[in-house]
Amino acid sequence: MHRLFALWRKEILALSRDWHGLLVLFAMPTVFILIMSLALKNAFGPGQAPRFDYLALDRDGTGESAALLAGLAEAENYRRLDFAGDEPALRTRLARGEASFGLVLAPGLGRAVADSEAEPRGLVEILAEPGANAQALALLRAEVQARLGRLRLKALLTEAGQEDLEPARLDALMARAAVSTRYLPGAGGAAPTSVQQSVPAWLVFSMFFVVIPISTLFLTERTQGTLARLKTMGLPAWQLFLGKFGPFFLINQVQAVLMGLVGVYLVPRLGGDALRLGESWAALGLMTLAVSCAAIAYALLIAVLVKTTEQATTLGGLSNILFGALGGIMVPKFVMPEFMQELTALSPMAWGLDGYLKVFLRGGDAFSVLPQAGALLGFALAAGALAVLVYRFKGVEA
Amino acid sequence: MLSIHELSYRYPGASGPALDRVSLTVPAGRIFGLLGPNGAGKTSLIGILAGLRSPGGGSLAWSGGARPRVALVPQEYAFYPSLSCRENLEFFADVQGVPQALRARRLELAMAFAGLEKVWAQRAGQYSGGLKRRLNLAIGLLADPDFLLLDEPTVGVDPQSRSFILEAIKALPAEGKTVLYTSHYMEEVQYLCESLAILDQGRVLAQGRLDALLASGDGSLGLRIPGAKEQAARAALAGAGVPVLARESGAQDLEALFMRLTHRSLRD
Repeated sequence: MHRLFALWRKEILALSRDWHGLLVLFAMPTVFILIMSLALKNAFGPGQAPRFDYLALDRDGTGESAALLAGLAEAENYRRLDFAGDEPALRTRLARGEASFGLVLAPGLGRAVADSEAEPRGLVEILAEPGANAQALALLRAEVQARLGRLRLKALLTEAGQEDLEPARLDALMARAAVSTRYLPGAGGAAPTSVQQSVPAWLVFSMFFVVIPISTLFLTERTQGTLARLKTMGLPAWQLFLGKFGPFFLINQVQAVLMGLVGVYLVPRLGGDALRLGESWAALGLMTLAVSCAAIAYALLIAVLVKTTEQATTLGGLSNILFGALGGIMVPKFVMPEFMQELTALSPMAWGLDGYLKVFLRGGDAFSVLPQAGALLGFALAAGALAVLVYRFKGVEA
Repeated sequence: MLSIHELSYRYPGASGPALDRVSLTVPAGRIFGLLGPNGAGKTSLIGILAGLRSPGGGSLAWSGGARPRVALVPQEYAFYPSLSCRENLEFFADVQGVPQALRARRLELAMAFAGLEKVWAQRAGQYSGGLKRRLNLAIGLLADPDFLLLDEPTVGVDPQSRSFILEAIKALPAEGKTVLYTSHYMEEVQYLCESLAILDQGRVLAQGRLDALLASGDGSLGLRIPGAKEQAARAALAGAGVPVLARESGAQDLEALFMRLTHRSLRD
């Protein structure tokens, strides 16, 4: 035990004097969490969607077309810009990126809407600029369709003799209040926010980044003959590896606490939403322990495999970025297509993120995260055992 | 005493052996020199003696039967540059299990041995080459070893540090320690070692006491005569029908012996 304490003390002293390494481990995830939580703030939850600008060209010029545009003006997430010109002018302004969408109301729209016998076609064409958000386009299309449907309904009712219908009555007829949305309890009954995704994602990512200091320190020890010296002093492989494990486990725990504090206190001060930590400290502790074990064991495996610090930073850094991209760290899993979502199972970072999200979003307890924690601990055991085998096979000399 | 008998070692995938039936006798309480060009097998032999690798054949026999406390001082600066001298010494003392009661005294002795008292708080990475060599050496002494393996301990140091290190090493046998010393500097080995071995391509070319090796020749006879009498001596020899094969002034030195045995060719 005395030996282990000596190894831990040495590692902590060396790390505390490596400002670059500490910057990677603590500053990088903090910055990522802040940027991603604030940048993606509008991509999560209702009522937080960004506004999209559109231009309108009313070539019909009837009361119905005016009513359609007036109805659209009530839509929360779309803003009509001033425009007076023809269709080529509208296309030009779209091409310049001045607006996301252009609505062209075709001549005859008013007549077609009013005619209950007609089967309306091609009444409104929505033009989208090349970089326009596809989801926003689909939502605008649905909004236009709903507004047209409302106008048609009003026309039909007028035809049936029910003129001057109240707008509220029309809404009731269209059953607008029939559907409601609500997030289930688990995250305090509120909608998930970007910070709920960003904190666990970048925490897992940063915990795996111990691969850089662990592998570079290990390589320095190998190339400088320190490993050989330690072996001649009778230090067995398991103690050497535990000597690395202890301090970096501690660092992972500090990372977890720090990132939690950033999410709870710092992000809201900068205009984002506050992180809610879920309801189970045991589940959070279990996940942090499991992710840390997996990250350190993987780092030790990389450390014994590579021969130069260039290889360590390249292989360690790139594999982490690959794990992150595949595991839903950089791009949330729910926006991925189905086959990519299945591929995330290949990344241990995804296991960690899934476990944390269970706690943060669904109020999961320690029992509920056992599959993710178990997978991570299994990965840690396999990577750690392989690292010991490779170390014994390769020896201690450079 | 250490007896090495028919020791062999081959690196995986290598075409030839790094050590080919090497037999040596290292006397206890002495400094034994191990000379050889690059690739001769010195580091391989030291690696086996330090326990870093197992020999492919042959045996080692330590006097008294049991393996003594062996310390390796490698060529590289095998310590932590971000730690101070004292932190390095404390760490390596603790790893070797130096008892707490002895720890402070051992640290003091090691620092005094290597002349590090004035720089004990400074980070080792900021040291000059000479100080780094001295710290490297001091770490080797922390566990009070019986047998020290010193692999080129004076490479890259200034003359003052080199002289300090050599004097410190020369004093080790008086404390009962046996030293195996490798170096490319012949004058160092000549100064420190009573006996030595010359190794090349994994084989022992010569070994024994330094004076005996220097006295050994190639079948020719050396005569020491006053320089002023050279012409008279040549005439007398010619008159007796004795050819003069070569002329040297001064004694054969270790470098001459080394170059003669290892045939002067470049090794890397």
